[in-house]
Amino acid sequence: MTYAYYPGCSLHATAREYDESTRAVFENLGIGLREIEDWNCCGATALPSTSYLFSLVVPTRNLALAEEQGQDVAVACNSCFVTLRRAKSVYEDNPVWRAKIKEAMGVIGKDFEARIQIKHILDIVVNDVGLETIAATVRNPLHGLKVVPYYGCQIARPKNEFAHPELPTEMDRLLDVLGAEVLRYDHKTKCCGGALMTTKPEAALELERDLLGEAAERGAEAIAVSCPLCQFNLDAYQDKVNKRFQTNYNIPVIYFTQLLGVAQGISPKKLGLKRNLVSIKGLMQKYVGEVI
Amino acid sequence: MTGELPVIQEASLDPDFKRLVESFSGAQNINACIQCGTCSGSCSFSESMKHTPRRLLEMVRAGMREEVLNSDTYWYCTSCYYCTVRCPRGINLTEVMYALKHVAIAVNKDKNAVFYDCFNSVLQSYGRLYENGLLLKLALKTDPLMLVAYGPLGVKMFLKGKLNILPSRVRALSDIRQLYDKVGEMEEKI
Ligand code: SF4
Ligand code: SF4
Ligand code: SF4
Ligand code: SF4
Repeated sequence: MTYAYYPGCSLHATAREYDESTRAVFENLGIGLREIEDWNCCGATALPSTSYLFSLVVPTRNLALAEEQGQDVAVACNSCFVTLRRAKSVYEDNPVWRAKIKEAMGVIGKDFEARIQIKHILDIVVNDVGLETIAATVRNPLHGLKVVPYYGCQIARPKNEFAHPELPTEMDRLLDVLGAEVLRYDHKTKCCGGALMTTKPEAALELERDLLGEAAERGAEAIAVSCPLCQFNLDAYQDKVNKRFQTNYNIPVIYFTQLLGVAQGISPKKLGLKRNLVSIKGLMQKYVGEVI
Repeated sequence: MTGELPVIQEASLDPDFKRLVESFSGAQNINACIQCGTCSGSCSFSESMKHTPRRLLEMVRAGMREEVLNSDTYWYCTSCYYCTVRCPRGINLTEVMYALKHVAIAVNKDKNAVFYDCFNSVLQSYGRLYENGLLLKLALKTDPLMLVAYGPLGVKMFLKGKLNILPSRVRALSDIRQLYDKVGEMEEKI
C-alpha cells in the first residue's frame, strides 16, 4: 500500500521531527509514502479570510495532484487534514460551489473528481494497520511512561470516519499498546488557541496554561500529539506560560510517531528525538535506556 | 463578552447582508438557529469577544451590517469546530465565521485580519508557508518589537534545526498566481 503523502509546510520546517518519524515508522510498517509532487501550502484557517473561494481552490490543487498520482492522501497535520477535507466536502456536497471550484481549476488545466480519500496518519496506523499488528512490532515497550494524549480540535472535528468529535480514543489505545500508562485527559480535544498566539497572546496563553495544567495535575511526564501546530504551541510557549502565570511546567510534547518509533526500536536519529524543544532526553534514558 | 448590544435603528438594518452571508457554502441554513446559546457556551473565546457567536448570528440575521463588520467575534475564531459539532440545528458556525472574515477583511483591520493578509501574501510569493517571512511582514505592519520578543525562540529553533533560513517554493508558482487572479475575477461577480 502506498499513499500520496502530503507533509504540509510545517513538516518541512518547524516540525521536521514529525516528518522524520512519520517516514521512519511507515517504512518500518511497510507502507509507502510518495510525497505529492510540487504540493503547495493548503492555506489552513488563514486563507478563507482573504478569499473564501481561494481557500477552497488552493487545497484542491493538492488533491488534483494526488489524484493524478492515483493514490489516497496521507496527512500528518491536523490543520492540513481539516483543510483538505473541507475542500473535498464542499466539492461533493454543494453543486454551486463545486462549479466555482471547477471553473477556477480550469485556468491551471487541472481537474478534481473527488475520487480519492484523505486520511490522517493516526487513522492509518490505528485502524488500517491495526493495533494487533502494531503490538507485534513493539520491541521496547514504554512501560511506566505516564502520558496524556492531546488530539487538538481539527483531527476529530467537524466529522470524519474514525474519531469521536469530542472524545476520541485512537491515540489512547495506541499508546496503551506501546506499553505506556495512558492518563485521563479531559482537555484532549480542547483548542490550544495556537492560531491566536501571535495576534491575541493573552487569549491563547490562557488556553495553553489550561492544557499544560491538567497534564501536570494528572502527573503526566509527556504529552503525545498528532499535529505540528498543537505540538509547537505546547512545546515552544511553555516558557511564556510559565512567565505569565508563575508556573513551572517542563513537560515534553512528543509526536505519537516518535513514541511509536521508540517502541519499535527505530534509532533516535531517524525519529528526530533531539529536536523537541522541551528536551525528551531524560525520559528516553529512564524508559528505554536510550542515550540521545 | 464585553460589548453591549447596540440599540437597533430599523432604518440601519440591511436585509441584503443576511443574503450575502447565506450565499457562502455552509452558511445557507442560518435561519434554523433557535438562539439556544450552545455555540457560545462551547466557544473558548466567548469571554473575550465583543459579541458571542450566538448573538453575532442573530445580528447577521437582523441585518446589522455595520455592527457585525466592526465586531471581533470571527477574528477570535480558531476554527475549532466545537460550536459546529454541538449545534442542535446543524448550523456550521465555523463556516459562517469564515464567510464573515471574508466579507469583513476589506474594512475591519483587526490584528488577525492583518495576519491573514500577510499569510496570503507569503502564499503568493512562495506557494508555501515561510515562517520568517510571515513574522517579518506581520511585525513590520503591526509591532516591530515582536521580532525582539521572538528572537530567543528563533535562536532555539535554529539550533534544533527547525527553522528554514530560505523559503521552500512551489515550482509551478504560476499555478498559485493564476488561481488567485481567476478567483479575484470570479468574486467580483458576487
Ligand atoms: S496547515 Fe499550515 S503549514 Fe500546514 S500546509 Fe496548511 S498552511 Fe501550510
Ligand atoms: S488545537 Fe488549535 S492549533 Fe491545534 S489544530 Fe486545533 S485549532 Fe489548530
Ligand atoms: S448552537 Fe446553533 S442553534 Fe444554538 S444558538 Fe448557536 S447557532 Fe443557534
Ligand atoms: S469554531 Fe470558532 S466560534 Fe466555533 S467554538 Fe470554535 S472558536 Fe468558537
